[in-house]
Amino acid sequence: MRLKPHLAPRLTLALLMMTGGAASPALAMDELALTVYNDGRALVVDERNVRFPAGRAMVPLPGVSSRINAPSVGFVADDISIVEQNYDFDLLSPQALMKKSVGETVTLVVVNPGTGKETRRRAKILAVNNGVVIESDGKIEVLRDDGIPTRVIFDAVPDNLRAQPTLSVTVDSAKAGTRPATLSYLTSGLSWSADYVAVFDEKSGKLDLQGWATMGNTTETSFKDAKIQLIAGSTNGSQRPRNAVRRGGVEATPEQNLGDYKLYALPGRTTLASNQTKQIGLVSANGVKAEKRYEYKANGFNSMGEAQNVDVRVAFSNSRAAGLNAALPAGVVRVYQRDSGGKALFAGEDRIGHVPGGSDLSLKIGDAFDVTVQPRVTNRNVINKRTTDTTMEYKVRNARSEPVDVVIDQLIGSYWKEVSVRSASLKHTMPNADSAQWTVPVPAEGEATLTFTIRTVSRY
Amino acid sequence: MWLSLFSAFVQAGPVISEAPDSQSIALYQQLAFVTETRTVDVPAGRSTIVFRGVSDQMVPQSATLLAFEGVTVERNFDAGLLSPGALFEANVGKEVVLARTNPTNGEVEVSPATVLNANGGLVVKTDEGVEALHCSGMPEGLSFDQRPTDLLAQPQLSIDVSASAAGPQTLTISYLASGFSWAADYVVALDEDGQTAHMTGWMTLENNTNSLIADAPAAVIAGQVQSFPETRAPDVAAKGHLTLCWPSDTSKTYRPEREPLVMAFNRGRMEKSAPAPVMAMMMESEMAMADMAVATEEEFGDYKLFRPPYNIDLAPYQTKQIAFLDQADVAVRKVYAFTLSPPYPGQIRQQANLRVDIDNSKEGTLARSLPRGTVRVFSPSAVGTRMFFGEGGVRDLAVDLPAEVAIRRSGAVQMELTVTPLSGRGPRGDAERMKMEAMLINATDAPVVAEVQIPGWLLGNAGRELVAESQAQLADKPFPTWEVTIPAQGTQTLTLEVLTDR
Repeated sequence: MRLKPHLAPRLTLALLMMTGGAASPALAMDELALTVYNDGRALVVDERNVRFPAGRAMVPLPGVSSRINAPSVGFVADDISIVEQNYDFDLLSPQALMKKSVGETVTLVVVNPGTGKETRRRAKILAVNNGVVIESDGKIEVLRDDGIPTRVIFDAVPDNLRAQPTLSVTVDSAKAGTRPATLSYLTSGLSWSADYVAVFDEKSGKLDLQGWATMGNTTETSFKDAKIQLIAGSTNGSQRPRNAVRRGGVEATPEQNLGDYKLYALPGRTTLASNQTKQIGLVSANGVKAEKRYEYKANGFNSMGEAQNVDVRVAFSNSRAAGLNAALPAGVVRVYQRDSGGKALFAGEDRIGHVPGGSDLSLKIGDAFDVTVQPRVTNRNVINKRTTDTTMEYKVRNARSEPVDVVIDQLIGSYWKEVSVRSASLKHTMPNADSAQWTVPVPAEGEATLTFTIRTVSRY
Repeated sequence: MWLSLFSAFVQAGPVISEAPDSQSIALYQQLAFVTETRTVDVPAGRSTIVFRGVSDQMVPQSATLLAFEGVTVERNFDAGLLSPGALFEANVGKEVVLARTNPTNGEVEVSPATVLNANGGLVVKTDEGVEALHCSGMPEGLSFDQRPTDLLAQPQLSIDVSASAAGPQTLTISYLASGFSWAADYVVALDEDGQTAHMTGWMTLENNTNSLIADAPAAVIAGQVQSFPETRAPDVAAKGHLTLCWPSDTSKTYRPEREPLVMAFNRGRMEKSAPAPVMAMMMESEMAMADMAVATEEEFGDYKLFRPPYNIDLAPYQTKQIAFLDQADVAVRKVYAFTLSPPYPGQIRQQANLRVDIDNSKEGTLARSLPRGTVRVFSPSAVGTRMFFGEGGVRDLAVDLPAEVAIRRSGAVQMELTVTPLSGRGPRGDAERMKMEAMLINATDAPVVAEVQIPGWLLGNAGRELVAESQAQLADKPFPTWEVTIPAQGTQTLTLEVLTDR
C-alpha cells in the first residue's frame, strides 16, 4: 500500500468513521489540491479511491476539469500498470445518438392524431444525412415525413458517447479491489491575480493598502473542498505593466518561497465553484507614506498643437521602513481618494508586476485636468551633417489654486547618437545616459517655462 | 446566553440582504462607482452575508466592505445562473419526471426518466429505452424535484465575515460597475452679432445595465481616470440550451442550403431614449434655460467633479441629461483656418476649416473647466429660428487653455497657394529657395479672419527653414501661424520664403 505520509492522520479518522472495525480496505478520504498560477493554468492533484477489477480494464474518471490539458495527465496507483489514457469528447446529443445508431433497429411509437391511439413498430436506421432514412416492414421511409408525432426509442446508448468530456484510463491491475489513486493534470480556466485597494490621502501623505488574491474559475467544473495554493511568479505578457516600479527592492518579505516564486497557501479547504470569482485577503497595511507626483514624459523633440495633460502618479514604497513589508504579487492597484464630503471615490488604477520587498513604486492613476505641458521646438540649428542643436520650450500651465512641481522627463539619447545638455533654464539631473529630468515649479493659476538646448552628434 | 454561545460556534445559513437602504453613484467615462448602505443583522462568529440586488454589471474584484465591525474572511461573486440549460446540466444523471400529453385525447402520461446529457439537446433513459426529448413532435417536458441550490436568479456577491458580537450593523459596500458611462455635450448658440454666444453644457448619463439606480446622490467625474479593460464585469450570460434534434429534413422542408443556426442570445436591449442633439435642440431656446438646475463643479484629486443638484434616478437602459454649464455672453470668434502643404512648385487650391474659438480665459465670462465632449453650434437665421451651424469636439480643457472647435469645411473661404522656385541659392550653395504665395479668397459679404499655419513636420525635421514672411507671426502658437483679415468679397495675400536644405 502506497500512501503519502501526510494522509495518514486522515486515514485513521476515515477508518474510524467508515469501518466501525469491520474488515474493509484502508481507504483515504478523497483529497483535492489546486496549485493556481498567474498565467491562467492550474495543477490539479486529485487523490481518490478507485475500484480496479483484476486484469485489463477501462477505468472512467469522472469529475475532472472541463478544460483539462489531456497530455499532462498522470495517474498513479498501487499494483496497476497503465495501458492507455483516453480523453473522450464524443458527446451524447440527440444528433450523435441518431448518427451512431445507423444500422441499429429502434422502436417507433406513432400517435394517430385523429384517434390518439398509439401503435408501435420496429424500424432500422439506414442513414442520417440532413434527414433520417429508415426501413420498416420492408419499406423505405423518411422519418416523420408525414408530420405525425413519432417517438423514437433506442435500445441503448451507443458505446463511447458521453454526457461530458470524460477521462478514462485503461489499466492492467494485478488484483481486484478499491484503493487510493492519484490523478494529476494541468487545466486552463483557473487563474488568479492580485487586486489592491489603496485609499490615498494627499493631505497627510498616507495610503491605506489592502491586497486581495482574486481567483477565477471559468471551467464548467466546481472544485469542492480543495486545498488551494497560489503561485506568484509569471505574468501574462500582454498585461505587463510599464514604468510602475522605479527601484527594485532588496528586502526579504515574510511570504513562503517556492524556488524563485512566492507561494500563498490558503488555510483550510475552499470550494472554487464554476463561474465563481473568489477573493481572499493577502496584505493589509495602514498609514503607508505616499505622495502625489506630476510627470510628463517626452520621447522626442516635437512641437505639439495642443497642450498635453501630465500624468498624475502616486508614489510609495513597500519597504519595512514605509510600514508595508510585503512583496506585492502582480495585479491591479485601484486608488481611491476622498471627495469634498469625505467619501472615498475611485481615482484611477495601474498595473504592477511582481514587486519584491523594499521597492519604490510610482503608479499612474490618470491625467491631471488642470496641469498641462505644451512642448515646442523653438530652434533647430544644424551645425553640420552630424551635429544639431535643438532648443525646446516646455510651457507648463497650472490652473489649480495651489503651486505644483512638474517633472519633465526628456528622452534625449540612444545608441546611435551622443547627446549633451548645452544650456537649460533650470538645473537637470540624468537618471540614466539616455534621459534628462527637470523639476519645474509652477505657481498657482499660473505658468512656467522650461527651455533647454541639446546638442546631438550622430555616430554614423 | 446559551443561544448566543451556540450561534458563535455553529455556522448558520447565510444572512441575506435583499436590497440597499440607500445608494450613491459616481460616473466615469466608461464606469460607475456604486456605494450602498445596508442594514444587516450579523450573527456572532463566522457567517456569510449575501448581497442581493447589486448591479448585474458589478466588477467583482473591485468590491469592498467598509464600516464593518469584524473581520472579512473571503468574498465570492457567483455568476452561475439558473437557466433551462443550467437546470438540465445540474440534473444529468439524476432521476426526473417526464410528462407527455396526448394531443388528441389530452391524456397525460407520466413516467420516471434519467437525464443522460445536457448539451446539444436532451437525451433521457426511461423504462422503455433511450429517447431524445422534443424530437417526437409530441408535447413533452421534464420536471424536477428540487432547485439546484448553487444556481442563482442573478449574479450575487457574498462576503464571509467573522464578527465578535451579534447585532444589526449598517454596512457600506462599494464596487465599480461597467455598463455605465457619461459624456459631455455642449450647445453654443451664437448671438446676432456673431461675437458672443450662449453656451450650455450637458452631462449625458447612460445606464446600459439591468440595474436601477434610485434616488442616488450622484457625482460625475471629468478627466482621464486610468482604467484597464480587465476592470469590467465578467460575462455572465446564462448557459444556453438549444433544443436540437437529429437531422429532420423531410420532403416538405428540403432545401439545398441550410440556413446557419443562430446561436447568439438576445440580451433584450431596449431602444435608447432621445440622443443628446435632440434634447439639446429642444432646450436650445433661451426661454427654457431661465430656471435650469445646473450641476456644481468641485475638485476631486486632479479631476473635476460635477454634482447634480438633486438625487438622480437612472433606470435600466436609460439616458439622462443634466446641465452643468449655462453661460450667456461668452466671447466667440469664427476663424477660417488653413494648413500649408510642402513647398512643391505649382498651384493648389484648398477650402478653409471653419473653427469657432471660445474664449475660456481666466478673465473671460466663461472661465470654466470644459470636460471632453461634443460641441454643437447653432446660428441665428433671417427667419428668426436657429440653424444648425456645425459640430466638433473638445478635449478636457482647463481654464485658460485655448478652446478651438473645428466644425466643418467652408467653400466660401478658400486659399490658392502658388509655389515658385527663386533663382537665389542658399548660403551654402546647396539649398533651394521657394516662394510661397497664399492668396486668401473671401466669397462672403462680410470680412472674415483667416489663420494660416505651417505644421511642425513641414519645417524642422524636413530640413526646411523659414527665411522671409510678409507679416509678423502670431505670438504664443505652437507652430508658425499668421492671422489675415480678408475683406468682404475680396482677397488678401500672405507671402513666405522657405529654404530647402538639399
